[in-house]
Amino acid sequence: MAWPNPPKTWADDTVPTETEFNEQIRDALRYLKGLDGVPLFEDAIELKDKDGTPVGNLRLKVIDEILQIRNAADDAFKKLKFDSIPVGTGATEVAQGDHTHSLLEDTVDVDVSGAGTGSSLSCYRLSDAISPLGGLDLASITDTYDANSRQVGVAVAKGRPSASAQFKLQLLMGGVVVAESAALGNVDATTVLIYTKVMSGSQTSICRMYNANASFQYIWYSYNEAATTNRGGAVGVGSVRI
Amino acid sequence: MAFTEPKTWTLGTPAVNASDLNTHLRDNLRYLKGLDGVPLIENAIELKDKDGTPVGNVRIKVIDEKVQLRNADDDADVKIAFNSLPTGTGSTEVAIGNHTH
Repeated sequence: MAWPNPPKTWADDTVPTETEFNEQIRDALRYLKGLDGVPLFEDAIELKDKDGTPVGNLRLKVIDEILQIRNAADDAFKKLKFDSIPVGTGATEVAQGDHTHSLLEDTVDVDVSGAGTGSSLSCYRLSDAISPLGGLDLASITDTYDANSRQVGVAVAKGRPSASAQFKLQLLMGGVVVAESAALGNVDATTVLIYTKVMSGSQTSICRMYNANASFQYIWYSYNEAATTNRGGAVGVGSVRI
Repeated sequence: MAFTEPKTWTLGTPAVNASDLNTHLRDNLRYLKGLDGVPLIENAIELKDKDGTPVGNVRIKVIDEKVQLRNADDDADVKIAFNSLPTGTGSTEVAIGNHTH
């Protein structure tokens, strides 16, 4: 049964009929009680603050199909009780404010310079001649990273550039030079570069010796008594994801 | 007092007596107003969209002990206003969607 719209306005000396009583009293009460369907309230509904020391009544109102909770006195927004919200880590739950995320390993990969094929092997010390303003990739890795991952890249090189060289060690991640050393000195030394980057998909990281000179320059790697030796370079990338 | 099934008035019965009006009108109205306890509504309740350009009424219903907000026309799930959610970084608050760590 429907709500009697509008409820009858009674006049003096009117004798109500049973039909009017049934419509105006019985049906209206049944409607409000929800006995005959969903009762529609034409305005907000107000719930009394039932605490022993009440702070304020709340109104439930709908604006543009969105339920709002408002203070009855000043219409300020008020909150839904936290315990009434589905909290969790699922797809149909909301996260607690103080939640944390666990970091998982995405990939870990390392490449060390292979056996020397340098331009000369003198006194069992492999050397490379690097073109002017060119680079020699000492080590390279290509991996596929998760869309929500973060990487730490490390490039290491050990060697001794020629006296007039202006060699700089470079770390490339995702095809971009992300770190570069100062010019290496004319001493046998180890240089390390480290950098963090956000990459996803298939990406290449490189440990590169860059010749900043306008002429060929040489770098000698570590002494080794074998007839062949390895270049002194390596690159590594560790990737973590949420 | 509990809600009493409203009386069906019929011809031939005494027109109106005090007991009927007290039971079926006064007590039931007090019940629905919440004056005598928590009024139990037997169905969802529907609130009219009060915006100047309304989009749709919302029904508040309970299914399996969970409050649900639904569009009155197509029963689709609808939302509670963001400003009515307790947001923040505490253990009894919910995180804003674009938060960072």
